Amino acid sequence: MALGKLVQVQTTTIVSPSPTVTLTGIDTDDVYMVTYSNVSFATSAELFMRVTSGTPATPVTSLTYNEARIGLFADAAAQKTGGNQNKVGMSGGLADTTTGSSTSGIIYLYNFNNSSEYNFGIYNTVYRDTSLRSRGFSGGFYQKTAQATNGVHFLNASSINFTSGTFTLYKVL
Amino acid sequence: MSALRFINETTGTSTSSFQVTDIFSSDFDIYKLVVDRLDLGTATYARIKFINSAGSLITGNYDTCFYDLTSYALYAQNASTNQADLAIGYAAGTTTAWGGGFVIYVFNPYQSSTYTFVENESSTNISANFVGGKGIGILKNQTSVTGIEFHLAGSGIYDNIRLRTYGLSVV
Repeated sequence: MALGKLVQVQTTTIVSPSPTVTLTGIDTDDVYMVTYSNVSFATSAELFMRVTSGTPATPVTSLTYNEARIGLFADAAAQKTGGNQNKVGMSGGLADTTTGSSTSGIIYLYNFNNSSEYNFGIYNTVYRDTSLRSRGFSGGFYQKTAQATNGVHFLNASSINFTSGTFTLYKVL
Repeated sequence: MSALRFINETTGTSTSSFQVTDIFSSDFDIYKLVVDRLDLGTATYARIKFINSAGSLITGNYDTCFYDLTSYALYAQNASTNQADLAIGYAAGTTTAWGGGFVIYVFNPYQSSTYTFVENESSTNISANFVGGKGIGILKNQTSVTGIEFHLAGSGIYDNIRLRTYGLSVV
């Protein structure tokens, strides 16, 4: 029976520079929700996400992410993006050296704990990029390998350090 | 206890400027705002402004993009920068048939070192046709925001409106 509750599973706040953040603890068949806010990097970088599996939790790096999203751009016409990737794109370029440049978002995760099902996610993000553009993405993905996954891993393409942000994983009951 | 913490419920009647103050604080970084029981004379765009910690309306530096997800036409993108307020989608409804509502997430409003980010979704019906909305917005001010105002495009009046505010706790 749904209770309408959010139960915090894990949270990480950037207190020292690090190029990745991993949230784990998905161990039931419930829906999970990830939030993040005020996330930025030392120099311009885009935020990406992967799922994790195994112990210790290891990011899945194969070309098995199929995603589709629409851009919510305050400065330009709509942009639709889709296809197979090895990670899921969550933002444009972010850097804390640009005033206000950061991103926040909410992701829902489905079927992550079930080893016989694909895992799915939907996300809504908003960001201010280093080109001073106010934008966001609304989209979703599924990871085309039926396997049990236990978390999510945030990164960028150039191992640039996160300098701010709080990432939290909740179980939705 | 749920990590989704109820903060406040406020209702408004016969108002062109529905203001709710002192809902954002240092207690949370992320807020969920749920608007329902919408009753207004003429369907139009709902708009918001934030209220700073001095109690003043913030009347500039808003960027927005939202889509009208209409059942009767191609989706329309509404994008603009440097606005006096933040448009968040269509509102409609009558005394006998409330419009749908809005769910709005607000990120880091209270922190004076960050911009305030918004994600919003909406649903309503206009002339017996469904209209949804999905959008984002940014207040490009590094200021501490503690409240919000809902108003309507033109000189519209909310005959009825209800706002419930929740915070997402992190421990």
